[in-house]
Amino acid sequence: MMRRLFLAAALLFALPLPLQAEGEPATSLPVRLETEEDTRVREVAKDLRCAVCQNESVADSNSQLARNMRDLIRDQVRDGKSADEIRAYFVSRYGDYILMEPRKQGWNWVLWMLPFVLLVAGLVALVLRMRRGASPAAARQAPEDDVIDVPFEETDRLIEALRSPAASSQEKS
Amino acid sequence: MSNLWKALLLGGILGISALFFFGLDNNPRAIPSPLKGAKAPSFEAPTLDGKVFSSQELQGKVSLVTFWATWCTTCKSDEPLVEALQKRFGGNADFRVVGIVTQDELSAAQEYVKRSKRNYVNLYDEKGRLAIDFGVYGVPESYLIDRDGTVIEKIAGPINYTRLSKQVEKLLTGASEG
Repeated sequence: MMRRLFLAAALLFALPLPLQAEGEPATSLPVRLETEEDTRVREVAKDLRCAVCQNESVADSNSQLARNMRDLIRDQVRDGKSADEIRAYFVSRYGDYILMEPRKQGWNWVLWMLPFVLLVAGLVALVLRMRRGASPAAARQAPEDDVIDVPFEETDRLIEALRSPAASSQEKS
Repeated sequence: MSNLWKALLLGGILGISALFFFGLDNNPRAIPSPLKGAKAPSFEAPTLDGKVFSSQELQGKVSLVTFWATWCTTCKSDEPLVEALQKRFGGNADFRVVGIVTQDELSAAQEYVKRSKRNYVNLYDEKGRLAIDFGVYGVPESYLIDRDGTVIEKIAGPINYTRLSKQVEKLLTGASEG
């Protein structure tokens, strides 16, 4: 009898307990779908630098300044301003620094083009080096010092010595 | 290694060293403001005691607009200096200090000003719009504005009393001469 009771209790506790009672509404976090306005706010906010953060956009930052900026962007979107107009407003207040990406104008072109120039220069240098290495003249200039010229007889003797250390030691003695 | 590679490597090392040498010496708060030399934004905001203050009240006056918050320790150390400026030039009807509380709770600011008995007007920037309009990064930040409403200087961080009082004096006397 006791054994059966223990078994019943064990089965009862082994059953997965429901997280909620039958008939109660499911508890889940509210999901808010992104509206067109949200998308426009995010589009502008991701182009603006959070001025008090380290390389973080206004869209990503949770600082007070970034939150205020997002609210202001939302108000400007509601007022019917275009993304360019909103960006221009922030630039007029904070300068070009507020933009996550430097504008493609003036000296900024150096920043934009330098990586590509370096990449092309690197590729050219690599190709030139490979072509020089493959040329017959280069092959003729290949150093021959790396090749160790050992007579066959000597090689055989060394191999034999390695195979039988005892023989080698006898030979020495 | 060929001479070309040696030169490139040396150039790279020197370039990066130069960037560090000059870059690390820069003041990270000294970011040029596009407002410097431009007209200061016009504004209207509530004072801490519930009245409305308009920037029109600053027309024809030299003014110092200073952004602060109760949680900001540098603002607290700046406070006697700003008050000293107000005391020194405040008798002159042509000079005005305006404090703007930003990124802070209204009740905290009211309580703080009540205790400290400030001798200049303080406004409340509820949504941080005034701060953004002035291109403020953090607190304290102050803007010296001349009689024409042009921003003469943006001071990020603590103020230098001696330098600022000379500038105010120059702006005040310069106008009276003209």
